[in-house]
Amino acid sequence: MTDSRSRIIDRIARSTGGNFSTDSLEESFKALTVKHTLPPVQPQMEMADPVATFISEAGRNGARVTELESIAQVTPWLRDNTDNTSTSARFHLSPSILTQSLDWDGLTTTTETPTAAQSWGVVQAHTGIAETGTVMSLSDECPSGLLFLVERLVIVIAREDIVAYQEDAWQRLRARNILPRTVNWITGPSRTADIEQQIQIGAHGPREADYLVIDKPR
Amino acid sequence: MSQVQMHEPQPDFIIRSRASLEDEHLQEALEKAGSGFVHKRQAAIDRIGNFEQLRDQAQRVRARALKNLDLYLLHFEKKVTEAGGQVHWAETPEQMRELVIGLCQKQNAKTATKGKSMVGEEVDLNEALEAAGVAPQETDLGEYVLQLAHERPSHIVAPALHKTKAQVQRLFRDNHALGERALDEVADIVNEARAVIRDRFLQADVGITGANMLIAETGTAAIVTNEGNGDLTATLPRTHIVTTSIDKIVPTWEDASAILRVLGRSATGQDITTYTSFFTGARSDQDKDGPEQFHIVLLDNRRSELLGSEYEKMLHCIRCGACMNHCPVYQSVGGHTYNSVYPGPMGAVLTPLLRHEEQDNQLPNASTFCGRCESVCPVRIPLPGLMRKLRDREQRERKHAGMAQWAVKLFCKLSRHPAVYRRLNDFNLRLVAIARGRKPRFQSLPFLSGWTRHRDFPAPEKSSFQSQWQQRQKEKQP
Repeated sequence: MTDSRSRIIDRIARSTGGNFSTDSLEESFKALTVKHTLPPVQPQMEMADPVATFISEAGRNGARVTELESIAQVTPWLRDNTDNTSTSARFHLSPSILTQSLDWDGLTTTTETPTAAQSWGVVQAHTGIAETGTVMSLSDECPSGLLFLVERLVIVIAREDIVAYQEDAWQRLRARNILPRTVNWITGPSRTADIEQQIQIGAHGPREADYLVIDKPR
Repeated sequence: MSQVQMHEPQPDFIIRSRASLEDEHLQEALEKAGSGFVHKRQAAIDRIGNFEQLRDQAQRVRARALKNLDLYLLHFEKKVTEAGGQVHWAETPEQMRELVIGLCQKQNAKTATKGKSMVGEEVDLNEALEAAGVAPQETDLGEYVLQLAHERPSHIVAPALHKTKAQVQRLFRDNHALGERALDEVADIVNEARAVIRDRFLQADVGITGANMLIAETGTAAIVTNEGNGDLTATLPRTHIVTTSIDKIVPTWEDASAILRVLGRSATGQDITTYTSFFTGARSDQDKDGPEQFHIVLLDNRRSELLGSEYEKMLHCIRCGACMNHCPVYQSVGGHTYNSVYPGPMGAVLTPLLRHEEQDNQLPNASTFCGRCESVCPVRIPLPGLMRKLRDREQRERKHAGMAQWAVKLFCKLSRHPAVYRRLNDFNLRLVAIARGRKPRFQSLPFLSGWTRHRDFPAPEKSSFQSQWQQRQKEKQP
């Protein structure tokens, strides 16, 4: 199919002029995108306090947001919130949560692939984006599948990791120097409107999404 | 390889429209979908103060991407390769089918879960996979319903828009071993599909998704979903194949943001969809999960010929569906009537340009030119203008003039001779006045049955404006 490739590129070059050398793709790319970067146009909204905007936007998009003082309060919160539903809940933890020394006494934890109906995911987000109340998770910190396979997803996000706009999240991502295989953005619980355009919460992903905003992460 | 056709639709748009207008289920479904999209979009726009600037930016990004498309595509390919993936190039739908089947067979794949991909639909991928012994399993709820019904999508965002809840219930009863499980509420239907499809996600050998964007900077494919199906399809199987087209490129992540900011708002009235996922290559040692193999199959299918042509702006399209949600023709006849995976105004332009079938010439004529499509397009594609160009092209290429053309020619001649025109017009109006009698409207008219079958034709005044004017001037004089 290399012929298809060169024929397609040749046809495109008839319109673009093809003024670059294939030996210096990166330089040509940088010359175009660094020099001629468009100044971003961001949605006009209240952004004096990004954390406040994050909380209100996430709420509007169907996430339940709770503010906690410290990471140590996550497990007591989980205990409080499982009482009403079921005691057979299994908590699937992301590695970043597992390494925190939290008191899991009385809660059943696992790192297996979630299959049971009573599965909760507890993960830590890399970044929160206030613009849309979105959290960003990276597959070298947390398995991407975990975010989608559990019935109820609890996302821990440190206040200091919340940024105003998408561009700020990209900056944080670039600063890592390593781009993981999957970058997931999550905004609320999964949903579908495929049956008569009625919004139904809980499609293939979690039926509920909780964001726990932590004041002091450590 | 044989191309399996699900059914042979009527080749005439007008005949198909007639059937659609008389289809009670379709009309019920269209009624229910109705203005929902329109109102949600408007509400999302009203929540922010500068949607017009966001549109301008998205338009600039699309133009910028196409201006150096070859460089961006090659850079994209380089980055995908560096990240452990592979890019494949298909000039035609047939090549894309062969490539995807080849990749599946290399993995000895028996099943492939599928996220929504309009390019996959464009090349009839499911039929080809089935014929090659790979069972395609649609995972988007709408696409799953259509797979059960052996039907095509009728909308690029809401594929099963033409189906009523009752029809979906019947399909599930016929195809699922339901037992005691209820199916009365929408929630029951969604839960039923969730349970059936969940196992498929975990078992599939290959996952095939589309892409909403390809980011040249890092070789990243981005998808947006609300159900989470595309994300599971891309993540759980050993192999992830992306079927997409060369025009989906954006240069950088910031450029991707410019598109994302108008996509959800224009499509479903969401500031952002529940999930936006970015896939770069195969899983590395550091990644906690993800596929071992990552393949991107890029389709051209005449898109490269549109670059630099008077139709280039059609390649700006980001597939939000706002044009069809606002189109009075689409809203009356539904997507299947267009007999193309791309319906509505964007399809009326894109289908003839990509498919080159004789019947496609009718599609640019399936418009009232009301202009709503252009006014809502997030990247400001001049859809009516492009349709007009296509109509013009069709007229110029047509070998035999039809009756309509003779009528237009006659009108052109007459309008250059005002005296003759006026006299003929007065004569006509007198004839009409006799035929009309006291009725304010006609219920049937010769040559205009296409109109009068569905609505009355308002009767004109008994004499022309100019005659009436002259008459009144005379009466005014003492």
